Amino acid sequence: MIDSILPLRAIVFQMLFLLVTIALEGLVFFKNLNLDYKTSMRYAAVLNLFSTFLGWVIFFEINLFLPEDIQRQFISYIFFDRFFPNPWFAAVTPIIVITSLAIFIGTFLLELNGLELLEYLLDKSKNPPAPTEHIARFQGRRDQIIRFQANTKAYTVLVANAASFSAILLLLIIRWIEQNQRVSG
Amino acid sequence: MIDALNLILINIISVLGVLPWRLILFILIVLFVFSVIFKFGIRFPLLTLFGLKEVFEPLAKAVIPTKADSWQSLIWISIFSWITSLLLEGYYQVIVASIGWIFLIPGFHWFMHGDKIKKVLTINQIFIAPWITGAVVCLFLFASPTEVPRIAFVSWPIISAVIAGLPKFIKSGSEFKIPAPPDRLELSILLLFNLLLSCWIQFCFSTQVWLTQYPTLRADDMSNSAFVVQLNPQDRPRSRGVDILNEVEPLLQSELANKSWSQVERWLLDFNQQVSTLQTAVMNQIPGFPENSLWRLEGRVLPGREYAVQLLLIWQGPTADANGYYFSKTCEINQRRQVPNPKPTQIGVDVQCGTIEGPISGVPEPTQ
Repeated sequence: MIDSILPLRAIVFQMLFLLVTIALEGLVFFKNLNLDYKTSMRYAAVLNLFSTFLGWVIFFEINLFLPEDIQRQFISYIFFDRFFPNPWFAAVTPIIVITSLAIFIGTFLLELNGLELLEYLLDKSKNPPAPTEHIARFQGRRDQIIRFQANTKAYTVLVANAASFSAILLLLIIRWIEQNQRVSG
Repeated sequence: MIDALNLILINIISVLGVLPWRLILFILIVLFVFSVIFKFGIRFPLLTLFGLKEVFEPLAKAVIPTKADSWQSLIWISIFSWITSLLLEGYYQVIVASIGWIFLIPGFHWFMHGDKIKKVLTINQIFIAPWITGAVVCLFLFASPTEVPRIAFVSWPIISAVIAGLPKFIKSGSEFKIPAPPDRLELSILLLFNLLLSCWIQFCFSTQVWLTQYPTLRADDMSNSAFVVQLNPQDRPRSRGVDILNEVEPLLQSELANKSWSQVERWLLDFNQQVSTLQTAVMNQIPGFPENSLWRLEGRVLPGREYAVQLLLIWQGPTADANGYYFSKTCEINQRRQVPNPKPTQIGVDVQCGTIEGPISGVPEPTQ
């Protein structure tokens, strides 16, 4: 009934990544979106849970249509953290690169749309724009561009995503170093 | 520990199945009649006489509804429907039992909102009653007496989130309302988090499906994985390779049994071809898993011996060992010396195989 092999590590890792991501993106939202601290954290939580959930759904869907050999590579990665020699072995690295890029862009687009959806849900899309834009008009041209950029949602979400993805990458590199030490030591 | 848990669960289920429900029903009815007599006739004098009043009074207070709209009445209605359903058969039983469930669920949910129980069920300021009720709802919707299907587990968090969020949609005076914007934010976090929980549960099932398709993986070491944990790494099952290689031995014997010695020698000359037919034969015998195509049987005639063959079963699938691994088994093929036997064609062939070696890391050296 209860299996002795469970994906508990995946769950713990995902919780850790989500916590880091929400904290970082919440900070970015707090600085750029004129929200109070608590609300920006909640915004970050909603957007990240939203993109993670959709990511899982896409994962389960794709999993149904994967060719057997790629699925085996995938199983190998999940259970043993490595790939094994089969016809797809050489293609693994490009596939990973493309997939990571797709995940980054996909997450960005999902969170951007999620943000608009959330503001619509919270009746905020009708609110007047923040007054900082008017002040910007009286300042230097370069400053104006920066301020304009800083106020767009897309820019905010992009920065937030870049920050959180870098943090996750850092964590993954730390794990990789730690594992290499264990193997060699 | 998990095995022990399983055993306990299985025992409970089997005991429930064996219980004489009709007898229990009879006893319940008798108890009910007695309690009615108790209440109107001899309850108070008798209870005070035996000093039992202190024991039964709080119990009675807890169980007997004081108002019409209370959780006790809902539970009593569900118990009544359950008892009635035991007397019926077929579809009627199902319908009446479902009505019982429909009253039991809100009654149970209401019961958990009692002051004392609410305090117990609140962990870290989160009131977990909706998830308990959600589990009951999932059992009602999906479970059969023999098994709880996957969908019940996967939908459990979602249903619980809906139950937990419902109060925000209700105005006092039991009217529908749209929650205020701050509540909407909370509600979306609640819903999305529970959807994520569902995904995790679904992922648990996915790994289980893969393990049933590729049972050989269970014998391997998963300590490197970033996704899964082996709860008892010391207690891994035997690799399926051993079973497959054991199946090859009788096939080899039956293949050589009716051959003369010169036929055997000719057979051995083309050993690679023979091994591939052996492989197809053994794959037809063992249970068909998707992983079967990842096992490859190879063989070679060992030099300098008349005759010894080595059978090699190579795993070409996912494994923790970077070099891969294989199993090997050496079989001696000898002429059976039966001198008194008059017919020369019936001189038999002895095939004796040693124990299986392995798993040996790496790829076997190519045949000379």
